[in-house]
Amino acid sequence: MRYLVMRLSQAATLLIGVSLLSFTFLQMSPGDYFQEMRLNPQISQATVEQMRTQYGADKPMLARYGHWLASAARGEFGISLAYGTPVGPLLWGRARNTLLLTATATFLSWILAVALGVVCAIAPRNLVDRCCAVASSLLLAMPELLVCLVLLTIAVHTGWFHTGGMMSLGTGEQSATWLQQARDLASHLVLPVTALVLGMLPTLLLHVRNSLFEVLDLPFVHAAAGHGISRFTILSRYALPVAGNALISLFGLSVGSLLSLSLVTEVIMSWPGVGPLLLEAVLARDVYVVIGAVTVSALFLVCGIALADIFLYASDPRIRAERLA
Amino acid sequence: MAASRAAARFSNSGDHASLKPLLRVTNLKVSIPAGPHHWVHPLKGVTFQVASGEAVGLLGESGAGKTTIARSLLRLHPASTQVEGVIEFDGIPLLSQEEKALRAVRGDKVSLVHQDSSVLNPVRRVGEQLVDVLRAHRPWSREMCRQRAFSLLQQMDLRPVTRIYSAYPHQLSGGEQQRIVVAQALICRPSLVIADEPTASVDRDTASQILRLLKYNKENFGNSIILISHDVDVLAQVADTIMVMYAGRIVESGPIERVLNQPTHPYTRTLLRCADLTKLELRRRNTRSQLPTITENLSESTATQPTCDAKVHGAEHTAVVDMRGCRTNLRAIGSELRARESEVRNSPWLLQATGLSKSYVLGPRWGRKPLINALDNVTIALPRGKTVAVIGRSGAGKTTLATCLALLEEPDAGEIIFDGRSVRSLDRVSRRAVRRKIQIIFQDSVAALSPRLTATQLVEEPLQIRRSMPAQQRAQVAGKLLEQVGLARDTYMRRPHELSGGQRQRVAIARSLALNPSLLILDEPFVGLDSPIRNQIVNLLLELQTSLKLAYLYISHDLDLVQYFADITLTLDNGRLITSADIRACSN
Repeated sequence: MRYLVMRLSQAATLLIGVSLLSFTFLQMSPGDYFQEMRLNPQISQATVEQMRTQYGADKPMLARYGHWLASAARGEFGISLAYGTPVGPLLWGRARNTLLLTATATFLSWILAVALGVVCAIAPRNLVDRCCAVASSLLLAMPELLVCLVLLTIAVHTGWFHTGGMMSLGTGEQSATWLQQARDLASHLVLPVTALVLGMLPTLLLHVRNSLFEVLDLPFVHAAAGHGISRFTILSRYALPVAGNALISLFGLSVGSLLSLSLVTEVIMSWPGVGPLLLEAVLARDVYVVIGAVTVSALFLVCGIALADIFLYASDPRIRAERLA
Repeated sequence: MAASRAAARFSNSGDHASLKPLLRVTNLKVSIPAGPHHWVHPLKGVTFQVASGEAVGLLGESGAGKTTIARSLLRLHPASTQVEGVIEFDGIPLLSQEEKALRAVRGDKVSLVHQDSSVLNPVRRVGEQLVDVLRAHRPWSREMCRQRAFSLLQQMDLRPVTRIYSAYPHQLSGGEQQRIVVAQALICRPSLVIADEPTASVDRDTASQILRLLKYNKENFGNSIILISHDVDVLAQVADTIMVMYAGRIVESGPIERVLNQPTHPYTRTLLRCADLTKLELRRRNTRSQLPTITENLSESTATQPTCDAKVHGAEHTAVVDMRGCRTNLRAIGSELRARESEVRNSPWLLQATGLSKSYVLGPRWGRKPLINALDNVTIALPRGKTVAVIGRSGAGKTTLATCLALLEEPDAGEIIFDGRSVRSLDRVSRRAVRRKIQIIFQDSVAALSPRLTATQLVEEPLQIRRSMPAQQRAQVAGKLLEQVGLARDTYMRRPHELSGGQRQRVAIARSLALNPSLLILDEPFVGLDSPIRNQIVNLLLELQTSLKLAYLYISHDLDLVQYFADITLTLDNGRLITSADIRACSN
């Protein structure tokens, strides 16, 4: 219980720190939204000044930060200068799309990584293992951008997949059934999910393979084989739970990066997620949107790590004993 | 059902035993690849039989091939290992069996008791691990397996059973863990139990309990036992017959009384002599001769020919000093001791520590704070070029004393004066210089040496950190040091796991000598070494002491060796020095 309280307070401190830092950095960067506006000859100086006051941009930084905190507590996270609406609702809609994409991709990557990792680890240096090693190095060396572009080229040439967006025109209407909508969404998902999986899989695969490989050589695994316990039981009850420890932390990190994982892919594949919104906001100096996005992804990270902690706590009795001591 | 099975075994173990052995091993050879076109042969043709209900002891030093026998009987070696010969168990040739058929034998018909409890799955309840073994071989319900496990735990005196059953390995004491390891091997009531040093990692009480248990099982269920140990006393408690192994061969075998009392092979004779310290402890005082050891490589032919005499270092003296006139001897030693003592007193102190105290806080920073007084007002002085031994039970504060004196840990109170200077007053740079003069050799050299470095690199590393000489010179110095501790050239490029226990300990010694220290702290350096190897290391340390004028602080709970090795013996209990007695008082 004490431990939980401590973890929560740590998380809160971290979030405040992140938001404060992003506030400060944005403050330090030259120019703001209103200066950009001034370049437009159709808007008068007076209007700009009026808007400045209206949005509170003339107040000192700490006051604005306090104001923002209050609005964050209401779930608004300030008001977007470009859209003129609270950041919160704007972000939620986008975040939902991003999560749909990244959660699918992460889930698939993990399944693939564990399956392939087990195959590689129980028969090291065989054909599958070698192929995986080569493919992993290649994919690791390739920038995400390139992977996306290659995939897009394939899609354009073959015409098998949708090259952008999240829904086809017309399927969003009432007439389309639930099933049609889902199928349409899935076909749009294929390309960005593939890109993300290709990006994530090599790292995960290497981790799964190596930690399992190490565990499979530990004395208790050999001893279990010596007692005549079947290979499947050894793998599922002996090796994987122990190898899991290293992987759970990694899992926490991958959950934590759900929101920030796909920024590049989303922009290239024009997926209506947080990525394009954030890019626009940065270019337009729409301060509160940027801070909101950064803080929310930090929140995800904190939650992901906490989740990993809880999993570890549940999976490893040694850690439980240590924490309770 | 179990009872009838046991009865059936009993009838087997009668007259037929001599006619039809349970296990017959013929000309077993094992080769392990060790690099391109290079093979190591841990077993060079071993032939033996085990009858039903017989307990066979396997005696030998580490590296003799004992564990290899155990592993090849169950075919547990890696795929790259080559095994030749015939292993016939209950009429089945094991070496030609399919993996699936083997799995049915492993754990059920033939089971293996492992050396230590690292063979327990750390994240699974021990009861479930017991049940796993049972379920692998019996089509029983989970509940039935549970009951069998419960009754076995009860029989093994692991109580309360429900707590033990649902405990994880780390929640059990070392003795309890080891008994679980034994239980895993016994739960299927196998007809052959192979116990590979089952008592190596536990204290004496647990050891005798485990041996009693193996014996009890043998008597009640009629199974055979192959007990592997380097300790004659362990074998004597269980075995009916004994086989002595040397360098991959069985050099002598026979009924245990005969082999122990009238060994015919010179190797057996030497091994038994090395193991027996009781007659040796007095001698160093008089002659300063060496402990008996066995020279490396009795050549292959001598190992097989019992007529040839094994070379034994320093052992000619052993026969001379038997227990004849022990009393007068002691008296003479007493007077010599007093002389030595005054010599010790006169020599200037290398290190003096006064009023050392150190306590530890348990639990988290905000939680409960039970204090542990690891050291309580300890005053100790170490003379130059002499050995001071600190003995005490585990938890008495021995290791804390060592780390405090090595300046690895800051004592809460007290002062340490090294070479005439108070350590507390030193600045960081000169403190580091002092620290170089004090080196520790740890009990577990596997844990103390980085697994990724070769022997040469390990010795070079301290020099490298100090940046005092160019790389080439470093390599030369390292080579010289390794030579000084008596390592053969072909071991220089090996990594710790490729070295034997004795060789590792030599590397650890060479490494600590690299910075030219004046004090070596030896924290149980001989634990886990076979007696001949232990004797070698003792001899080496004594030689180094004379030639390099080293002071030793020797930390141990092994009284026998302390008497031989140390000039002054101190006893530590609950963080306090009880007596500051010399050897004479100790042996009284």
